[in-house]
Amino acid sequence: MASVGNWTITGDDPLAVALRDAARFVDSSTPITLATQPGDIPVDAYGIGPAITSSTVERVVPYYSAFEAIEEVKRVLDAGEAGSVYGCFTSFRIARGCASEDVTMEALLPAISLTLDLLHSPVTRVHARCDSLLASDDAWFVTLRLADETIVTIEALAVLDPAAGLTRDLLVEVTASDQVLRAEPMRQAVVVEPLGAAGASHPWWEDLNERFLKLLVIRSSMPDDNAGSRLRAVWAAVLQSVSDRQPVVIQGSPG
Amino acid sequence: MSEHKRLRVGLIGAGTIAFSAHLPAIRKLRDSLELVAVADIRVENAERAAREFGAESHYTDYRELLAREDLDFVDICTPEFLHAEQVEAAAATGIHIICEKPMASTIAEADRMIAASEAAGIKLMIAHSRRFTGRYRQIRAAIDRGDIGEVRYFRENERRPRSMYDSLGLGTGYWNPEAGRPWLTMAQYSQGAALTNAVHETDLARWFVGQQPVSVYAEARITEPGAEVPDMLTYTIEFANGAIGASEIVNQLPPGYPYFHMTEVIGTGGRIRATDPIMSPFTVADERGIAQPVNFPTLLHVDQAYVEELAAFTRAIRDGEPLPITAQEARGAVELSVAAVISSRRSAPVALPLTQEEVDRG
Repeated sequence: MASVGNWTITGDDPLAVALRDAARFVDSSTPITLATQPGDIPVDAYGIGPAITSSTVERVVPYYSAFEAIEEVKRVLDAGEAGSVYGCFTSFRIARGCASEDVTMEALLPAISLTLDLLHSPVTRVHARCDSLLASDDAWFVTLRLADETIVTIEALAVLDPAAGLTRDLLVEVTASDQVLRAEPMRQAVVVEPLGAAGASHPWWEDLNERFLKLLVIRSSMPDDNAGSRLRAVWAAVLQSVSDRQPVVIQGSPG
Repeated sequence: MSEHKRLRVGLIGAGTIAFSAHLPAIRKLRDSLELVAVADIRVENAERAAREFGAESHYTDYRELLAREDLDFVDICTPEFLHAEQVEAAAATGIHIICEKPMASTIAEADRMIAASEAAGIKLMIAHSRRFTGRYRQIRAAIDRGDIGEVRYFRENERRPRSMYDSLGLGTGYWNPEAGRPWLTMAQYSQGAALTNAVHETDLARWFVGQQPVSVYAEARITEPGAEVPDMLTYTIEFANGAIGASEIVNQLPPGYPYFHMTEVIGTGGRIRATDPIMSPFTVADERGIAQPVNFPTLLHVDQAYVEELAAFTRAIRDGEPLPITAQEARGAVELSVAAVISSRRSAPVALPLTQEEVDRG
């Protein structure tokens, strides 16, 4: 564990290292903790990327929000350019054979946090199911109903074939009265098709760490929107819905 | 020229799907089929269809069409809430019937249609056009070849622009029982998108997965101002073997948006993707960016699929070939769609098969 100023950053993965390196450039109120390892923080903070926590406010900045395409979706929605939002379809795929915990924490939770980061209306009803398509508990299907009637469809699946080159895949589609927004930030790929053999896709995307750090700085200066407590409430409802096999109404939400 | 005598066809319901799909298909099959009569309560539509497609007679009352004694089969292209009544009337005359999807508004109506066709000993086929569309036939063929192993997941998201069919320039429009209010927006006539277009997806899910559904959960909403029934929904189906079927249907998108499908089948041994953006036959790039075709007729599935569909029905009548889709299969799609409607109203999962009370009410 290392401490930089009023930041505490745990872990030795590249992101943690990058965060430690960059922390001195971040102006923030105290106390703040950034963590990137499960077990060091509440479980929900891991999947969504680092959470910034202080004694009075909690901010959530989903890691994948740093994709330019996702940032543009958020900008368009926040500006009202898309018109009345009808729904959002978010699909997060990882490789076949991943452990069920990975599906939950590395696909489902990022998908939920990313989606909630785009849509601000309170979540009123949550339905979730966890299924075994190709392996045990390798598929999540979550439906959210928002106070403004928006319907959110989220799937998190361990279905990708690593041999085909794609190990992660994110799709966000927002349908609205004036625009339809479709972001596939992990889909940029070179496709290689050898003669007489199966082709392979070689995706890449720019290093998100730098963009994510910039996003953290920007978000840190924005008013707190209780995104952390909202995410936790939805996450708890997801787990309860799977357990009860029934939708869960989030108390305190209008509607 | 065909060796066979041409089958004589009467068409009921000269609206959008008739003008865009069924009538052109009958004309293309002119060696096998002869359109002899058309009925529509809108006399201008009935007259226009007869004139443009060469029928000798037109009527405003479908019963007058059925009173003819020279028809081999009737092609019913009316809204689903009329299907049971019209199928019963046609079956009573002893002629065969092809009927647009969805089979009916309710399961009870579908059961009436099956009973009427069985009692009359006639063939009843529901026109689930996607089973004859190249995209879905290719998918089914890949599944049948074992290319992806056992099917574990099927998803099709379908998105439509507002006034989708206006782009075809047919000038027919939907039947408006009240000025400016198409029938499919009114609760008196429609259960909404779960039936009117999601029945495509509920049928495909059953067709591809090949198992009995055991539960469905759906959320639905109204997006069109003034509409009384949901035009958007999302649902998840669980099948008996644990496979999942899922769809998100959105119908009121901006006019420039294309008729869009994202279709995917995942099996134990691979996956099949058939998504419009990667299948588009045409794009335009200019200073405004990249655009794909808004609505080619072929993208609307209104071309060859209906020819294949009618040709298969013709062979079933003329040569005794089995119907490519049975009435019971079409009933199964209606049951799934109705279950989605019930689920969205209750905000709760619904078990399948539906109870008798749900069948009677739904």
